[in-house]
Amino acid sequence: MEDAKPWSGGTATQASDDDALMSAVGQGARDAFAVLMDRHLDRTLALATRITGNRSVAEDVAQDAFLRVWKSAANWQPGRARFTTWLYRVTVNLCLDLRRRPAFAPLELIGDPPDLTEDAVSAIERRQRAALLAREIAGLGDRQRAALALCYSGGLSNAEAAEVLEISVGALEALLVRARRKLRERLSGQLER
Amino acid sequence: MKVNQFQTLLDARGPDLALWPEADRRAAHALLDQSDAARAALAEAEALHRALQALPDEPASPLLRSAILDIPQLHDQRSESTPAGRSARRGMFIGWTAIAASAAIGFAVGVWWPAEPPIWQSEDLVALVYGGSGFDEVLR
Repeated sequence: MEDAKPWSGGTATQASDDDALMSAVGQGARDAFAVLMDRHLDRTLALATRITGNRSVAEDVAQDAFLRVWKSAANWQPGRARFTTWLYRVTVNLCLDLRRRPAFAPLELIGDPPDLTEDAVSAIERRQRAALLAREIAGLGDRQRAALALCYSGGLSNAEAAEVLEISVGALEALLVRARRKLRERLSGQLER
Repeated sequence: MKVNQFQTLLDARGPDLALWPEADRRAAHALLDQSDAARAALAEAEALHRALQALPDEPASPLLRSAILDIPQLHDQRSESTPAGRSARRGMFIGWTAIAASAAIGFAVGVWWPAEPPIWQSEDLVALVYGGSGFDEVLR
């Protein structure tokens, strides 16, 4: 294996855009790869967790997605597609491929560190609501779940999410309508207003 | 705009009316001014939106970060893509185990398999049934 090549762009800063980082990664710059990971890993992982419903599977997906980043960087064409659109598309496809396989671990309940500023009862209620919502999301169709995940965990607009899924905005909105309608029906009266 | 149209738009575009196209936004505000059902639909859509936004997203573990940072050392950029996750590691283990098992079976068969297949004699069968060494012993 070759030695690490320094990123010719100099210090890896947030100001450098993803295209430039990908070009540097394509030339073997490991520090540029590390910057891309720092910028995008948490959202990639959140997206994969929402779609697969399983944290440990999502970690595998995120790792494989960044392997694709490393391998694809040499062929990256700046300006052709946004890096995040491409990365999220890779992530969604890896998740959907995994979901098509029969053996899939059950949904893990959503857990989060306790918030010491709220009382115990409301903390428990909030966790129960989150767990309930996570279960209902797990019951949605794969593409409906992917659409929701892109809009919430990915923080994308409908147009951006449609681009990731390679469908029209109308088709994306149809997925969101079915997903939100189902969630509203199942969670009726249980959401905090 | 009718309430059911408003509900569909809420599900499609979310409850932040500021993000809607101008014409739909104006029609939605006009409906909200006169319809309790529309206001209830908006409140419900906002509650769902808040719940979806509030789902916790834990940051990646140091172990995962470290595994990803190791990718450039472990994978040549020019070689074919292979999965990097634990499933890949499991796959590699299973692959090597299968190769080792096949080699062991091949070796065992090669060492112990007779050069020519045995020819069963009738007295061997008798010996097998009666526990002796052949006809002679049975007739004796």
